[in-house]
Amino acid sequence: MIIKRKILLIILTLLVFLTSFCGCNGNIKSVVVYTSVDQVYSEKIFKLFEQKSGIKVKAVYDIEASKSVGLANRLVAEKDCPQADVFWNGEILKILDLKEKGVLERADITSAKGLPSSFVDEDGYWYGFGGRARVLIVNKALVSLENCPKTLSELANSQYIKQTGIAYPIFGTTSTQVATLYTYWGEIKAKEYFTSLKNLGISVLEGNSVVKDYVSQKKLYMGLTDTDDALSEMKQNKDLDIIFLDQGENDMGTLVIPNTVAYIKGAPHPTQADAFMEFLLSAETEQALVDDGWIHIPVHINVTASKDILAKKIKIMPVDFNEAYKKLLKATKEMTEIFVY
Amino acid sequence: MKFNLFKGVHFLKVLAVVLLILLTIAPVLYIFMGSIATTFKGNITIDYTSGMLLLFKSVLLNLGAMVLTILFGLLSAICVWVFLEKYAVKIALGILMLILLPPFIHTQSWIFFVDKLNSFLEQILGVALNFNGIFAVILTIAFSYLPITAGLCLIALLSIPSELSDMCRIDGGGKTAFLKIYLPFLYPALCIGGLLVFLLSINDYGIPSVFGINVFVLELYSRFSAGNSIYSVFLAGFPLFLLCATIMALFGFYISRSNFSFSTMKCINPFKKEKFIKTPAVFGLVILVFFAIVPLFNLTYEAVRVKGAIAVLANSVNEISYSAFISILAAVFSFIPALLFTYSFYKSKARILFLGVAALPFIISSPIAGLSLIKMWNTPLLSFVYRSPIMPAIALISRFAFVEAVILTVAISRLDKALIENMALHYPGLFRFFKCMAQLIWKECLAGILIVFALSMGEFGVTLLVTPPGYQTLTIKIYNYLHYGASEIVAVLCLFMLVVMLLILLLLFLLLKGEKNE
Repeated sequence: MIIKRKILLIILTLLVFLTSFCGCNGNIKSVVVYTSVDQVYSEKIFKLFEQKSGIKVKAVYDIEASKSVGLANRLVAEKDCPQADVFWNGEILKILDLKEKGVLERADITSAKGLPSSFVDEDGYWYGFGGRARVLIVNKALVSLENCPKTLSELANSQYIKQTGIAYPIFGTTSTQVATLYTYWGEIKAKEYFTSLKNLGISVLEGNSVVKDYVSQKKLYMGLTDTDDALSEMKQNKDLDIIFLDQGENDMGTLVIPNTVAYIKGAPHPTQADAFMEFLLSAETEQALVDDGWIHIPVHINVTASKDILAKKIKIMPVDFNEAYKKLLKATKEMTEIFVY
Repeated sequence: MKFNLFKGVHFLKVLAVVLLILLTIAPVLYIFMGSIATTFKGNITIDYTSGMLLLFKSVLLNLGAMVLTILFGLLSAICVWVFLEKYAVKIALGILMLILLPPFIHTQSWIFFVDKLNSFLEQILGVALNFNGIFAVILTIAFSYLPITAGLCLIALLSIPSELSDMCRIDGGGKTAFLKIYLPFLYPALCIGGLLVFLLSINDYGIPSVFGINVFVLELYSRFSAGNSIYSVFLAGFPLFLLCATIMALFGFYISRSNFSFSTMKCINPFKKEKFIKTPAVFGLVILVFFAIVPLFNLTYEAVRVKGAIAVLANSVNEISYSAFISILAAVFSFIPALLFTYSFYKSKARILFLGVAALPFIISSPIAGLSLIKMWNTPLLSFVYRSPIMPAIALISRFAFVEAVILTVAISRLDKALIENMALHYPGLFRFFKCMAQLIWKECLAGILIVFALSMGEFGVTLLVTPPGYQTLTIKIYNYLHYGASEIVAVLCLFMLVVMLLILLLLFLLLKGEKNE
């Protein structure tokens, strides 16, 4: 009796293991996509692709708690034995880092033909499409739009600097903005600028979503954040508005951070990966992402911009992202010294 | 002739150590060796000077939080001991299970609570509380980790020998007896709880950064984010690693001196009618009320805003079942190395040292632990395991297996040595030995499994990096929605997690009650 019970226990244990290992169905075509884009937006695109192509998307999503770089680091660690086919990133500098570290493979994507040249890697390692802009979110119940700064430089001289928020400039799109300013203004001016923001008492918050929360809850008057965070909150709070900074004739323009997608070197499902990238880079998908609220400034000619900002003519900051990437390490180190130590 | 595979003690010892190393510290060793090699090649240079002041500040901050958590834990335990004597044993296990409620829930709840309080105060008095900075960080950490210190302290109180209680009741020593006899019994539990709180909070930047306080781990994450190599991040965090290793050694010291046992828990309070114990008990009651009400109020407030709570849960069935699957695997299979280890080393003085080594994955930050697991398991030989859905369970075993090993080791060390020797002599072999042992320490075994299950359900730092494509855990989904600002969906999922855990606990109590009577 005891022996029978032991055998039963062993069989049960083996069954648990076997079911675990046989979790995948080999007959269904699939593509493995790692993405740092918010799940609520990317999940819908995956479903659309599945319906259209019959290829199942096996996704791995990143989270804000890992500063949305967990998967990029996972790709580097998996480099010798890759598991992912495609990496869809919500920003650009991490893709450049992966290219530098030899994680990516060249891809020739037909849908990308209509993209502006600055959104396509000259070597074909990555492709950029519709972007999010860095904006100033303002609570009009606390301060009028006329009294708000119109440029990043004016922000440092604003009477409301202590009531202004910024996410830690060492993570995410805020660190991308810092690196681009290091390129555009030069290292010395950019460092001085952020030092002055810190010294003047700007509120440093955990992330962009916290910035918009604080402005919405009237804990702050205004703050620098991304359009996806700002516009989603504006739908719920009519007191909020956004300002695209640096729109004057001699100003540098607003930073737009594109989505990027790349093919992983040694990807296990190359054909399906190609199909997914073609789909993601198409004008139809970009329009779907605009309509859903993830992208606000499209790059395909026949895609219409987000309704919330359609009326505003935006001057976009000219950025050499390759140069910005070269400055990233130094910029992050100096921002850590200014804002963390 | 009957063949007994586990009769050879040497074989078992080797197996126990190999299993423990393979499942726990091998990835850490891998990273450690890689870091040393990279340093010698001159590829990495780390300047420690600038980070030291920040590390010092972080230590001070977390020491403050640790002291407050210990104080809150002590008062809460006294409250249950005095006012809820009848249910104290069950409450002790219940409180320990509340470790499951992630710290971000407490953080958000406290911000929400103070906001509501402030709007009320502003209307009545025209003033508002400034809930920010160090005070807010320490208070939130104290409430987030209260289950650890309160649970352990209560278990220690309930494990005090009944002879002592009788003596105190008969002699009527009052306050002096409590301070001189009872309190020393609680020291190990309070120290263990406090050190555990320190270890958990010093490796987390989440709560401090919400309240505008910078800590050392934030600097490590900035390196991680800027694309530094894993070796560089590991080396930059080495002072913190050394500090945590020292804390772990202290932890081992107090574990070896602890005197609490689940098996002998009994609530006898000789001071319950004394006035001196009522004041801390009332303070404890206030703390427990805040601990329960603030998150519950916030979660319920958010959850009632959801129109289709059932639909939210239905959409999360895959995540819920997958989380439960890997957490059960982790909790049950952590038991195997823990048992082998305990069986092989219950006589050895080196067991604390081995346990300390096995705890290393617990004291390094989760991104490093996760990436080191990838480096080790995602190789041509082992990648079939890495790709499988059980990989997160292996990661969780690597992080939490030592918890069960510690609990079993402590439980066996509390038993009469002669009894164990007799059992080993008359019932040789691991299975038979365990069968006898299980009669004596089943509560500890169960508690260990439940704690690892709870810790596994809430883990996200390591599982994010090793979860296979197409799968997702509930906690990762919660974090995803949290960023999106869907706090009401987060509230529904958190409440669901809490209810499930309490139901499991209730079910276990009912089952075990029947078993005991039988």
